[in-house]
Amino acid sequence: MAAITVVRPGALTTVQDLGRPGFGAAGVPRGGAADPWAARLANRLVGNDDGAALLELTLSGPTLRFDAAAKVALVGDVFELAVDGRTVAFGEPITLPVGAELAVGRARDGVRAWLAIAGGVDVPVVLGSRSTDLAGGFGGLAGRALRAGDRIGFLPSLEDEPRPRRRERVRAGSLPSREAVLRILPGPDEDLLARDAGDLLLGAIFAVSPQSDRRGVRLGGVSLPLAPHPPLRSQGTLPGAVQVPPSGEPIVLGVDAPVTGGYPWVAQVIAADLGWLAHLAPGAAVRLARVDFATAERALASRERELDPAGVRR
Amino acid sequence: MSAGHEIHRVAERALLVRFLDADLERAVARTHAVLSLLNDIDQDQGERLPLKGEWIPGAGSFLVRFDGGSAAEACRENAVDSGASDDGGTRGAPRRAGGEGSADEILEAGAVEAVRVRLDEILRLFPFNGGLSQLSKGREVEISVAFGSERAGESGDDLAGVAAECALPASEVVARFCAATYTVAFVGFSPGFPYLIGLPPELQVARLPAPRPRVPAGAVAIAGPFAGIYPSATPGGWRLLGAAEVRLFDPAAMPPARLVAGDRVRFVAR
Repeated sequence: MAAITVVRPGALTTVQDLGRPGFGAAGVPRGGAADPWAARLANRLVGNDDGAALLELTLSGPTLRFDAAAKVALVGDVFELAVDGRTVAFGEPITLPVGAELAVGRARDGVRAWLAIAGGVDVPVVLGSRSTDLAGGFGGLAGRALRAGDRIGFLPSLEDEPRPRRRERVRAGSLPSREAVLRILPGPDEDLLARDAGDLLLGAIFAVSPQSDRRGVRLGGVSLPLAPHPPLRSQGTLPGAVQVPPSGEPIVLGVDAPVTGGYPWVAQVIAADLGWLAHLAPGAAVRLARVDFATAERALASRERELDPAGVRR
Repeated sequence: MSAGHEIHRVAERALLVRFLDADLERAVARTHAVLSLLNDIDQDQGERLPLKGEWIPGAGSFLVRFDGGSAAEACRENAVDSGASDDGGTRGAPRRAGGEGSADEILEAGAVEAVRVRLDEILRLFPFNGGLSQLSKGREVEISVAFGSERAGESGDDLAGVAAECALPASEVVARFCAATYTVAFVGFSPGFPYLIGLPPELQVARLPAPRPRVPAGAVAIAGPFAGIYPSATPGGWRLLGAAEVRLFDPAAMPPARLVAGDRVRFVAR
């Protein structure tokens, strides 16, 4: 089987796909690529199905030796990238000969990128997905991030010649990492914000805390006071839920967040903007802007069109 | 008269249904009754309610996600085919997911609002206003526990403190804890973690002021009205009474969680 040897693993490199829906009642988060649009685009660039497993890179990428020829594409925030010591342009499909060494360095900007390999990464399907559940310790490669010396198989490619893409589409998954406006819908516990906190929620500029990961992006710098209220009952949550813990500094739940939570859910980031959470570097400035459902739906449709301007679903 | 409910559209493709009963047990009972009813409507009456989605129970609430979900259904069907399912897929809270194609393909944008309206009608007409004892019982599971730090190590570290706070001897805390029958209200926090209600009021204590960085797998713990068992080693702020030998989550099993909403649990001291 075609395989890759991990020479250096990078800071946090995991196998992901589009996640593991359907097991929320068992307490299993959906997980999957933190920016599903970027992951889908990377897959499309090498001719894969949207749901093929790929590698999610965090802050610094891996060095990989290919034991078979392969075509790969890296999409997301811009990382340093070299093949056999020669720098290559970021954001285009790369054809690698047998024995090639692909070295992904640090993120020049932002946090994450997705490396798709034609055919898709071959790890066992667990509960319907190849995604790594880091907290649960299952899925992906033995439920953990890559380590030096790991060998990862990849499946035979579905097509020899991926459909050509205009170059400007290649970075569609890459979004501002230093400042962002996240559009929000009202949350079910919005009325638990103290009188002035609603204005603060929309007027404040938050700073992304370094204590942010796939489970959530913590927004620091501004504290949102809550009205006095009895303890909340735990309820199902979603990625993109803006929760306010007792500290008042909001947390935007990420793809690996627990499926239930007990903090007031004051707002919800629209689906079209969820992928942005993956790119916000510590210190990034974030503003929240209120929109209605119609706007959120239009934004989502437009995001899908950007991904595939020809409107061809894979 | 029931205490009513509220339905929030919490995202483009998700609804949150909350039951407003002041009593937690009644709210949980109503959640389970409604999920069971919706499952029956979905499965038996052939009514083409656009209710297919992933239903995630909370403490007296449930979330419905209409975005994606065919993977779980496919897994479950495979498991049934191979005889690996031990619940036949019909008992307890439903965990349905879109069958033919992902649910978001079936469900057009406007349909979420239509489902909200339909759910609201169903909930208004639904007569159930009872307690957990009136619900058909889930599986009964007996879990053997070593209590206290001498027998359970770290997993029993808080028994003495809880006993002091409750002004009871530790042996009496254990006796009362084991005399109760618990119901799984929902599974959350981490894969397979059961939130159990039925904890005697005199044993209800606050969680730790700061969570432990690591609670051992199998730790039996209490916080507020709930008892629970940590399926894996995680950070946690609940008060630890003892250690259970039970595998609560197995990603290779179908269903993967040993306990699901509606199951009854008894603890036995060993």
